[in-house]
Amino acid sequence: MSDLSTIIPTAQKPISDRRDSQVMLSRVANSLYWMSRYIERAENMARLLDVNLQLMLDFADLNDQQLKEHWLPILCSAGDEETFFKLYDRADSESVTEFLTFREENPNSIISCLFTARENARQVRDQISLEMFEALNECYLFLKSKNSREIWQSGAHDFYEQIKKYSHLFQGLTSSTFTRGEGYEFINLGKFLERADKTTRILDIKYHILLPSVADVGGAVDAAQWQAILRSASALEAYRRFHVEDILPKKVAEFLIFSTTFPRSIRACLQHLDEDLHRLSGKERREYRSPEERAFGKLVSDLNFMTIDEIQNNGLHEFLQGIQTILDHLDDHIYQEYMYHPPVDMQAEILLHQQQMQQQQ
Amino acid sequence: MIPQDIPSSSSSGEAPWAEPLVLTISHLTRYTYEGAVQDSFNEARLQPVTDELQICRDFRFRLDPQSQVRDYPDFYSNCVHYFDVHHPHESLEVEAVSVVETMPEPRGTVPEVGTEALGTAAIKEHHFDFLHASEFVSLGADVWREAIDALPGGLRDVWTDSVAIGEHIHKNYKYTPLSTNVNTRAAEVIKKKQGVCQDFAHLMLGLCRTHGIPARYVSGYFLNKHKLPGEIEASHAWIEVFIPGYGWKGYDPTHRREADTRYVKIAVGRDYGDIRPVGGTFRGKGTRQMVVEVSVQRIS
Repeated sequence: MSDLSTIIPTAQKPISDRRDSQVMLSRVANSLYWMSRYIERAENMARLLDVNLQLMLDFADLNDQQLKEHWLPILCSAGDEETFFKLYDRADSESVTEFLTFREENPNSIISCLFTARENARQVRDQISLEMFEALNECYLFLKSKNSREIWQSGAHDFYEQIKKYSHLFQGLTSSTFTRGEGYEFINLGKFLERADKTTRILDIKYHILLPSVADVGGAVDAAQWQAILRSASALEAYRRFHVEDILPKKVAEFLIFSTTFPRSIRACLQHLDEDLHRLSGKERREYRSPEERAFGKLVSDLNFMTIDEIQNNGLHEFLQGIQTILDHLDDHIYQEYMYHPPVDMQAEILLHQQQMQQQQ
Repeated sequence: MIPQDIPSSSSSGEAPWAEPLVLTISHLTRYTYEGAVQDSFNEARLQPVTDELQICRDFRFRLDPQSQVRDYPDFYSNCVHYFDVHHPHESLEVEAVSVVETMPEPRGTVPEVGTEALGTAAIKEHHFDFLHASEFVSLGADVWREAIDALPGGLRDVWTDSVAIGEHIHKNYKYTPLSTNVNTRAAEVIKKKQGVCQDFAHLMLGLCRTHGIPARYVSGYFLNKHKLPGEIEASHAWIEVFIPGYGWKGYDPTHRREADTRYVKIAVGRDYGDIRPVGGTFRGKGTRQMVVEVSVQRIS
């Protein structure tokens, strides 16, 4: 007891050194993840609609049936055709773009996505930078104003350009103002998961678009459509750097699936996802601990060894659907692992019981 | 649980055992809960007393999950073991193993004591707790009526009349396991005309107190000779009445005899509520099962 060191209390450790200080709330993780996912979703939708509206200019004299054939795959890829036909009778350029842009009844419309993204950002207002929130809020105010619809009606291209800019601004601000840590990893998870998913869907659309006739395969219409696919993924220039000559369906698919250098390719997105997932779980690379993670890990390494010929032989559509399922399950897993908090049985937590008494006999 | 040990009502009370005994007793209580529970605070009254009639030679107290155990004497000088388990646990096991040496009554025969000796202010004040109603023993009209039936001539000699009350209970009440539960009150036993030792003890307390005899509840064990193999025993209960100039004297209405060397006393109190063997509170969903295993063995 004479030793002074046992009496004098040791200095308190700074809070930032403690592991607990790095722990974030599941609710915060959930909000950051969805904020990021919804913005990415809105941007992709804007690009897809913009490109397809422009594509329509090349086919001036389409009848109703052909218009429907063009727009239906796009509706299907967003998974909202049921809601659509409750609201509209005809699937033409005007109705589909309006539905996918302004209709709040559609949870995946650009306006719904960005409103939800802002709502999520608002819930974690204290966790993100002022600039990030302001960018999103500005976007929200723009969409709410009458002005936005006018811009859209007078020239949809300008409108979609604006939406893309808001997204780019937000993602750029996130990259330059958001602290690196678990929160950033959740933002990235949301972004890359959504981007990978959207790229599979953009590519899948071409599978659904029927060509006017068999003779058109490989023709000008076909090429225009494949070019539209590339532009929908902001990939035209990147593709051109590798394949200077023609836009060939097989090359486009290969590029959008396998490219390691183009940041919107499925493989690039999945590799980012893989890294963030491991950073989050603190596991070694190539260590996967749940069936969902294992399926995802298998896909990541499959992409290292597969060829476009194999995919085409087994069916591109089936391959893309497989990826979507794996990503769906991964999303579920992230939710269960990091965000879901089982309801607390308050009764069990609080209720005070008497120890059961034994009768004397 | 021990019906074959109930002496037939025709024979007169057997002579008390005067032979000194050494008994080893183990008393296990196991609670299994609905899921995990926490913040469990408990008291156990399981350690046999040491007095002129018995010496507690050895006592071991075991807990699972383990926890620090402290003990303190309660208001009636019973030894209470106190422990708490804060972390979540799905079951709790409390086991007490003791070795007790019992000795025959050293005070000789009980003297005759009339009612006037009980009426003194000193006794009334000193034994206030054991003369009045308590949680399990009400002193209402039904108990009073039963007390008159048990002792129609009124109280003349404290011990003789206490025995008479005990014999009245033994004669008119049927020992029926599972007919009552741990919370059964004395007044209810009168209605049912049946019960187990705990109920008979409570009833006898009520009748004695109505007649002005200080009476207290005794929790303990007794050596059950006519036990079936593997038969599950529980702890036993009987009572003590206070005889001025002599002291407390034990009587077991269930077996219609005074407490002799077969009996091991753990604790005394106003009624069961004061000295439940294991009691406490916890937070959680509840108890799924309680198992009690008691064994009393003679080792010499």
